[in-house]
Amino acid sequence: MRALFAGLVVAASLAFADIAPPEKAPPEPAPAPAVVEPAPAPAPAPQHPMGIEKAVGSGVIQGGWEYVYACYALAVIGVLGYGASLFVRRPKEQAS
Amino acid sequence: MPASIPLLLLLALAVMVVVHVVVPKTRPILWKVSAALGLVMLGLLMYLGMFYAPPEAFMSNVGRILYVHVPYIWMAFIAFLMNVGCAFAYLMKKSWVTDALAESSAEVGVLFGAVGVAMGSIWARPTWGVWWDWDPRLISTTVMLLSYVGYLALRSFTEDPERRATWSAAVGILSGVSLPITYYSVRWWNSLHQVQSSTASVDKTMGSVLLWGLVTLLCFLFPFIVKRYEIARARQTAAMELPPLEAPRPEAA
Repeated sequence: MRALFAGLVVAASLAFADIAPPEKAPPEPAPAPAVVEPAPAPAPAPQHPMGIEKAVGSGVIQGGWEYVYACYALAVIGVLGYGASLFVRRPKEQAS
Repeated sequence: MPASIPLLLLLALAVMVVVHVVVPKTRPILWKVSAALGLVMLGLLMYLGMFYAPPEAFMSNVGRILYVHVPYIWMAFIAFLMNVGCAFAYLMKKSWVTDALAESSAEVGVLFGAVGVAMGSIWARPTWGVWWDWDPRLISTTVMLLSYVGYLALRSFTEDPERRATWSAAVGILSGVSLPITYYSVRWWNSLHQVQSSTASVDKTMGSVLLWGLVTLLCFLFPFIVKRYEIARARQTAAMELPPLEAPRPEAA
């Protein structure tokens, strides 16, 4: 009985065991050379209506007109706003 | 644009200020002339600063902020220097005129300084990448501005006019200590902020536009101080029942 059992175990292990030498995997095909797509052209900096951007070289800050506009607006608001506040606070003799 | 044009306008403005002080009859007119000139020049400064002046070498068009930022800060310095001078004058010889002038110059200086710092913050964003940095120049400017805000707060909280004038003169002199510190902060310490700009430190075309901006804001500084001075004098009169500003002097018998 023991011999039969042992024989079954050996037969089963022979049947399920992967005793064959591993087959050499076929060499993977060389990857196809990637198609180099041209880099998208950089978005053009916002152009000033008067074309001043043409004078701006590379390696310097591009654009930034919104900051310039904000500062100039602040310059006007500063003087006009304070002028208005002085008018509102003017002495009564001048107001009448 | 040759620099002689804004220089001539600067001379005309200086003459106006002198005439305003020396000839009282011209006072109701000259500040209006100066303000009107300032408005015209401000309109032209928009064109000159944004379109006429060349882009800056590294900051490109962002560098155009120079023509409004620097003159605004200069006006603040001029007004604060005037405040210090009036404070010294008041302590040496008590006068309601110097006290009122000190008050008006401090308020006008705070206005110009605050707007100038706001412009600097806007300028810092594209050039430094941040809106604000705790840089020596920025810290010293903030301290300077806050000290003058404190000066104005002290004036508004003190009821007694004479005590207010004396205390504020002392605070004005103390605040004045911040002026040289702020001015030289870019040279004394390592600072992100560039060294002081002047008409001599930039290209000739840029210098003339910078000078134009300076004269433009001087045209506003003069009427601002004159009108704010009148408000301060009217308040003094109301508080102390002083004779009115234009009171006729009694003729000598």
